[in-house]
Parts: sequence; C-alpha cells; structure tokens
Amino acid sequence: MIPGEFEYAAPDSVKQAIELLRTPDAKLLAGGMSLIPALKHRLASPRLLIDLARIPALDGLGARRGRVTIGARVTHAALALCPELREHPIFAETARVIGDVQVRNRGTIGGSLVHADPAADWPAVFLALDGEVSAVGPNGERAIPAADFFTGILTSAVAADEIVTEVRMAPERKRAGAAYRKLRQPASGFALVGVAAEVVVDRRGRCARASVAVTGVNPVPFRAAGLEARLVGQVLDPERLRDACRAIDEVDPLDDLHASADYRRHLTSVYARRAVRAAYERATA
Amino acid sequence: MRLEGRNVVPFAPVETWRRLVDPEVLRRCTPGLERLEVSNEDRFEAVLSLKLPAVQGRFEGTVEFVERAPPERLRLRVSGKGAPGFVEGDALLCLAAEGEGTAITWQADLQVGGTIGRLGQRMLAGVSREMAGQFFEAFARPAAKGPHSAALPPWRAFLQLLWRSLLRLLGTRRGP
Repeated sequence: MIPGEFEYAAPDSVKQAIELLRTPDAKLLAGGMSLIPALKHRLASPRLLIDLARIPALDGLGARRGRVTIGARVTHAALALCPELREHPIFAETARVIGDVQVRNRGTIGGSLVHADPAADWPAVFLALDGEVSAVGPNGERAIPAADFFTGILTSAVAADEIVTEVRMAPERKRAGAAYRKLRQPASGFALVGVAAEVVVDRRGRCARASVAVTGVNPVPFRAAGLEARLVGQVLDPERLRDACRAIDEVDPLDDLHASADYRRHLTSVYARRAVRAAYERATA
Repeated sequence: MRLEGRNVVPFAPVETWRRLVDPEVLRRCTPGLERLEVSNEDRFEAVLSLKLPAVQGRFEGTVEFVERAPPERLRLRVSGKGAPGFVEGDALLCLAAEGEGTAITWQADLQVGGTIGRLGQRMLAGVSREMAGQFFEAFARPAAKGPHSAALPPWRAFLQLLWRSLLRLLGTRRGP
C-alpha cells in the first residue's frame, strides 16, 4: 500500500501542465480517486505526477442558455449542489449517487470521464446529453464529441499529451426532461447498471426524440439506439415503455462476481424503463 | 473466472490451426507480448506487458498445449505471475469450418490471485474480451487473402487472451 517513488509537480496553468506532460511516464492527477489507489497498489508507477489542483482555469461551472459548461476539475459534490444547474436535475441526481462522501468531495467529472471506468456514472449522462470535451495539447485545443470519446475499457480518445479542460453538455429545455437511474454496487457505489435518458415530447405529449445511454453493463458505455428509435412517436405509457425496453440490442454484458451477464441484461431493461419514465415525466410536467 | 467467445476467421480449419500454433503469428497478434520463446513444441515462455492509460503491469509465465487434436480441438494451460498478481487456467478452443472460414469457439477458466485478483475482478472480463478482440482482429488481418476480415489463432488467441486478462486485471483499479 505504499506507492513507488515519483516526482510531483503542481503547475498553475494548463500551458505549464502540457509542458510537464512531455516528461516520459508522466500522469495527470485530478481528484485521485482512481489514480491514488492504483499508485498504492503499484498498478501504476508513473515517474511524474502532475497535480491539476492549482489550475483555476479548470474550476469553472455555469449554465447559460441551456449550455452547461463544467471545468474538468469540478467535483461531483460541487455538481450536486450547484444552484445554476437546478434547471437540469439530472446533474445533481447523478452526482449525489456517485461513490461515497469522500469520493464526491475529491473526485472530478473530468477525471471520471478520462479514466473511463466501465461502471462510472458520468459517462452515461455525457453520452445521453450528446456532450463534448475540450482537450488541449501541444497542438492546441480540440473538441471531442461524446460519441467518439470512449474507445475501450479504461481508454478514452484523449491523447497522452492532452489535458481535458472542460466538459460541455446542452440538455434540451423545451418540453424536455432528463434523468439518471442506477443500481449501486453496495460496497463500492459503482453502477452495476446506470442509465441516463433524455426525452423531448411534442405538443400532444408523444415522444419526439429520446436518447438513452447505459453504463456498468458493457465494457464500454453505449447509446441504446434501437430503444431510442422505438420510443419516438409514442405516448410513453407504462405498458409501451415496458415493451420498448424489454430487449436492448446493444447489451453485451460483463459477467463478474458482482453480477452475472443475465442479471445485468435484466437490470438494463429495468433501469432503462425507470430512467426513460422519469425523463418523460419531467418532459410532460 | 470463466470467459468464452466465438470468432470467425477467414482461413480454412487446417490453416487456422497451423497459424494458431505458430509462434510468429502469436508474436504478431498478441497485444502487449514482449517476448515469446519456444521451449518445446508444446510449451512457450512468455512475457506480456499490459499498458492501459490507468494501469500497467508485466507478467511472465508459460503456455502449454495439453491436448492437440488438429484441426479441431486445442486445449492449453496458462500460468503467469507478475507484480500485480498471478493467473492460472485452462482454455479450450474448438475449430469448425464455417463457409470458407473457420469458427473458433473458445472458453477459458481462470484463477486470478494477488492484487489483481482482489482489485481487478470488476475489470477482468472486460479487459479480457477487449484483448481477445484485438488478437483475433490482428490474426485475421495480415494473411487474409480474401475480402473477409477475421482472425484465427485459437489457442494462441486464448493464450494471449489469458495473458491480457492478467494484465488487465492489473488495470482493475477502481475509484471515480
């Protein structure tokens, strides 16, 4: 439980951090809720740890005209309490069910996305709301859309010499609602299944657009495109919703000692139904 | 831990078999394989490095073919250890002609211990699956003559998978 030796740097600008990141075997430290345990168990042994804690540019948080901008180092706890996000309850309801108090106070949205744990919560919300991140590297800044972001288990599209500075999401506001529902693994707080859904309804209360994203089930979080298509044009009464959620094509579940593949498959249908239902109720309220 | 899968590769069963037991093919297709040495026809010494953004690990071990029934069945035993823990297990690959190619149906039973066993459970299956996918993709790619794209080295694939699983276990960190 004692990490190997490493150098430590705490730059005060993104530019300095990018410069430091040229060091071979350098690793960025945000909240450290995944990295520090990895260091302690020596599953990771970077030569240089670049602490992002002193870079104020990563701490911004705001919502303007439906566009939500979250600095990469904003903690889950900050997102749970942010008054500016009250219009979009999906953020607080997701943040509140992550890990435990300590994890929420230290862990960050940028760290969670880049670490790409297959059972992390933000990836589902990020995918369902069609978010994007800004990644800054030696060649400048680029935007990575959610659809291209998760490339494998524990792997994102962010390059080794890049730093994620900001996460942007644009939840619909008119006749729309979004919700996140999860089953927590009781010991870790990770999602055995987590589903984020956004629903937009037309004037007659039928679903005009739906997006549904699932975490904790496959090795990589995914959008349930088939389910989304089945929801469009429907009044989402409980029976229709149940039918639509019964089989979700993209499900290719992990099987481990926490939950079998069949159980995860079943849970995905149940939690997809609950998340879509909650989003639909918000949209029609 | 039990893993299973099915991959179709664009080679006839005899050719698929040949490639699966060919150290050169294994070297080329196994992600993270640093070294593979042939001890004898049925036994290999291997060093595998796993490098994910979040975790790294290095495993040394052996792969042994314990049952050969070409071109239909291959059973192998894998054991390896490294700083993050150890892995032991058996894998069975069954080959069957499918169209002009071969379907490789495989299953593996692995015991994983040490740090990866305690901490990596949650990631093990996902990492293994991904490594298997990479292996079969590479397996199919280079020698593929037709328009198919598949991969074929069953036991080698298994070996690689096992190794990778181990490595990935290393990657099992958790935390938000």
